[in-house]
Amino acid sequence: MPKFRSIPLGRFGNVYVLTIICFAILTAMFMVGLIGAYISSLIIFLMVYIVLAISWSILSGYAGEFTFGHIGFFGVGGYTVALLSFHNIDIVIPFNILLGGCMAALFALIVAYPLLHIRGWYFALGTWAVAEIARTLILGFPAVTNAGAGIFVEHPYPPAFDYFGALILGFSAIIVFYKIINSRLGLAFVSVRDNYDAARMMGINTTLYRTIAFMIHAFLAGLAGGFFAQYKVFVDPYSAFEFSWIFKVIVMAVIGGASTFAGPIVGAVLVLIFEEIGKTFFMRGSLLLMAIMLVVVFRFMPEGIVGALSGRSSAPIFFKKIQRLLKRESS
Amino acid sequence: MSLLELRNVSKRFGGLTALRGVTLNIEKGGIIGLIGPNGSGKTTLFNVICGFYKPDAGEILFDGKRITSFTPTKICRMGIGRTFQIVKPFHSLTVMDNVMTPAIFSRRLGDQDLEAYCQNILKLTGLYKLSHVPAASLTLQNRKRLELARALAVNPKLLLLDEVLAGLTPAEIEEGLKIIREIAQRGVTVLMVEHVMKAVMSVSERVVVLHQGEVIADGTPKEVSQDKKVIEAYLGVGEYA
Repeated sequence: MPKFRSIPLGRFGNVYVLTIICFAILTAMFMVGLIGAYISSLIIFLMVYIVLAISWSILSGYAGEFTFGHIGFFGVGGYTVALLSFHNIDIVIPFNILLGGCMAALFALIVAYPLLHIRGWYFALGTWAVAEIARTLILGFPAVTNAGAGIFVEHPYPPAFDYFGALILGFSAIIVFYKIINSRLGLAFVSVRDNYDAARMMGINTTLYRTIAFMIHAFLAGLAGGFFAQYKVFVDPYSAFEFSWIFKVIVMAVIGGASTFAGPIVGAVLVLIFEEIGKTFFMRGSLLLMAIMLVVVFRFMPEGIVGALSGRSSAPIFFKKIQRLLKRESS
Repeated sequence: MSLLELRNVSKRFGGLTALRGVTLNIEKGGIIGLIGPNGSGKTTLFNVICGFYKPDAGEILFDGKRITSFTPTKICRMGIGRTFQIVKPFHSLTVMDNVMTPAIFSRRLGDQDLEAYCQNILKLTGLYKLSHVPAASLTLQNRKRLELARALAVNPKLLLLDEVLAGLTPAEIEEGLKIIREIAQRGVTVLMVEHVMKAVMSVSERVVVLHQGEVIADGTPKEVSQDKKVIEAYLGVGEYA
């Protein structure tokens, strides 16, 4: 299997080793008791953010289809877990969340047929409509879904369960993301993004690969949604399909660099930090902070922070300097 | 049996007839030039052959099989490679990956060592030293070479070249022609659209002339250049002048 060197990964050494080290450190810190309730909830949020940012980046950063409908699949995952609990269908914990992911992917497959016939902004608006359709369906069948009243999800597990569940979810998403972008699948995604007609003429079945990208993105979003519903113990059509989340996810991916490996992860960390700072000091000012950050990134680093650092954009002198330093170190 | 056969192919865009009953037979081997004034339907013909447009009438046969409404993907996998007049590189991939992509996805190379195969193509097209440069930073000449390299990487039986020499300097054209001859010698049939008349006439064994969507002449370069209809089409008579 050839190595596709050109798909930008950023300078992060051996990803598997790094992932395992991070996982081990976070586990050890929890075991020793260094991580209290607040920090652990932050890490759980971070992991959910990372999964969402990665899922958005696969479809929009790599396969090049900008989506607003992301949150629809998050909601489908969440509602799958909630409905299982609501109808007393007993499926043990990792499997109900996995089923959430699968249902989201299935939903994606169904809507892929009409959606993938359109491209660009029309596609983006179409995905938004799909998210709204999902929400409306849930509101429309109160007997099955309890409609606007929401559903309480049974959660008979200790807090450590949430914490480790989040870690496993987040880190496996990172590994899967890394695997995908370094495979032929990733190569096909980038080709379709870079030039649709050329990709078709080079033997790439563009419809197939766009469908695959769409389903992977839905699956990951569904997993995150399922996990989040389990963690939050409650879903309703408004919180599960909360539109401000999609804004946050796009900010994460774009700030970090949606077409880089480390981009969505860096973005998720930054957004979480900004959100917490905003909450602490300015009440609801976190959105304002994020907006400022977004404008700065758009102006100076159109390919995101990681994109600028790995030297693929017209980054300003400051970043060029950092870049040069990094290069010197690595050579 | 001919490699590519067009039977009465027509294509209309609204009120404009871009191709009017084009019938064309291309035998295996050699270089065939396709010329014609601007707007005569050359690129449309390529797009119809490659499946980007569906013809309104007529049939296209490749290797004896009907390919009339196939998708470009399927047509590529059957063995037609094509370059684009306006170059379309995968700009964020390196030159090597640009060539790797068709080599992998055309599925025409079987168990061969793809990397070695691609390196060969890059050597042939003179891009080997630039293997690890992102396509976005190539010059126009090298982008045109990359177009050619990518079309070759599908291991085609028939290669459609859409103005690969346009916009190049005379020295670069000379180099380009050398590469094209080399490709033809390796047994690939080449059908090239070209505006650089000297280049087409010197390299091709047969020249087909399109004018307003119709084939008006077909023969050796010498025959074609003396054809009255061709001269009229290029220089114009009466109302066209």
